[in-house]
Amino acid sequence: MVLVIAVLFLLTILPSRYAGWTNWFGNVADFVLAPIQWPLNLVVSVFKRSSEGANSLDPVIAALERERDKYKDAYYRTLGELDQSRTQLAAMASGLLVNDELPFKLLPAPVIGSVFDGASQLLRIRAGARNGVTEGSVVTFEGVELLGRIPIGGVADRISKVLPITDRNARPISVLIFPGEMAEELAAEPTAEAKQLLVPNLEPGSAIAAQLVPTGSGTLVGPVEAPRMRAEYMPPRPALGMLVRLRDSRWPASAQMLIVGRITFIDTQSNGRQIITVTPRYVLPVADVLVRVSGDEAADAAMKGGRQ
Amino acid sequence: MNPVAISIAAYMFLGLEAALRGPLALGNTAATPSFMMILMVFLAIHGQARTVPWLCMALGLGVDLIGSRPVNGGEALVTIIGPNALGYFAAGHLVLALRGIMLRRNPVAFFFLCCCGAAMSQLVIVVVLTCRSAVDSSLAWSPLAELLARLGGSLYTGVVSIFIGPILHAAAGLMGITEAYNRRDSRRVMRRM
Repeated sequence: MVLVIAVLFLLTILPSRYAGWTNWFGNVADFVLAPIQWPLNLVVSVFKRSSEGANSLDPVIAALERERDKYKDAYYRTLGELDQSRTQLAAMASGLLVNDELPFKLLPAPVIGSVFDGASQLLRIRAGARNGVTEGSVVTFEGVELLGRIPIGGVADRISKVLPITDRNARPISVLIFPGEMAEELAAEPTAEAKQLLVPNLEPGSAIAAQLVPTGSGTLVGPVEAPRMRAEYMPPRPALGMLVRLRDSRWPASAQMLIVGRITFIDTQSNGRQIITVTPRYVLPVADVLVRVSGDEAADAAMKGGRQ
Repeated sequence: MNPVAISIAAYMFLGLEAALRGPLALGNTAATPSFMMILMVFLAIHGQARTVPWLCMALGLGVDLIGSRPVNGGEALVTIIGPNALGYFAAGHLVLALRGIMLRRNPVAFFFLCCCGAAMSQLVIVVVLTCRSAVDSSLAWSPLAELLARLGGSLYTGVVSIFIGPILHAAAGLMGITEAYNRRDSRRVMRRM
């Protein structure tokens, strides 16, 4: 008994760099547990949806809004690509070539449960290496909202674990706010401050940048930076309800310009600096997600699956 | 005790633990109930004194295996084997020590033992993970905040046990736990004392 306790204690304090092999046991446990966890998660999702039903929109309007969001996502991605092309042109001119632009596919994956240990809430999804999911794959909600990414050691053969951007242990992210781009539910009744900004200014150069840190309670908080604008213009300021989009070089190209959430609180400090609170539109755990997998990896996985 | 029935019960409770802990979290706090702890306390109350510590350790190991933790600022995940196994082992011993002075089928006693067992296991978990964070800084760890949230969760576990307890007592026969069995085991423990 004493020996077993000593071994367990040593395993507990084993540094992470030597403990990678333990993930295999975790993956086996996930696989064994999936048949019971998935129906339970489905029941939870149904309960949650029925409790939120009173506030939900007409299904036709919701479908149209999803469609609109997809086109908006494509538009912002193009803007981001344009910005990246400018960077690439500058890099080519200086002798460097940056080309990390790869096509991606959206892989639907049901959420089979969450890993909640108090410090963090990871999501388990039913898609793994067999489906083309890799470490670092970007996970979205309805294809247009950034939900998180697959960390190193989070991919098994059929199941993967997602670290949400709102998790306390997730790293800070850089975002852009385009003045005038309001979340639809608040656009109907904009604040006095927001009314002045209703005409969207979608040029990347005039966007407001911010660095957001997850709070661990489903939101992200961070200070806004002064926008890059000519001196004759009044600098745009963030307003409640504005949408926030990812623009972070540490994230893959397929994640750029995805919606992070909307501004739900602005705290103006005595020095004039503004701290914004951003809340995603989804509430964890969601019923299903869309994983952005590289086109090449998805094709390889399909080929391997076909052979088997 | 019927090992097959207990294995099935452990599997079902592990499923509940994995699926419901997140949705049942109290608001934005990290206070969540532990279903496996309720099963562990039930088995520790009614089980044989010499098998209970091993059983508790096995249940804790199951909880360890389903709980990956982000390390290195969320860059990677690691499955830490040990903290829950040690915590459940300590909780099992606590319940064994207290069960002799409790009415085993009393819901209040079950609530009290669930609260105490959960608090003891969380205390051990916080201590061993604090030791780990001293050795390896890759795990973001704040002992005081974790302890407070986990103690809140222990109380929550006690509240949930009020609803789960009658179900477990109803299924006691299936798990091979009977009154005669309990009396026999109690006499054995008393003789040893």
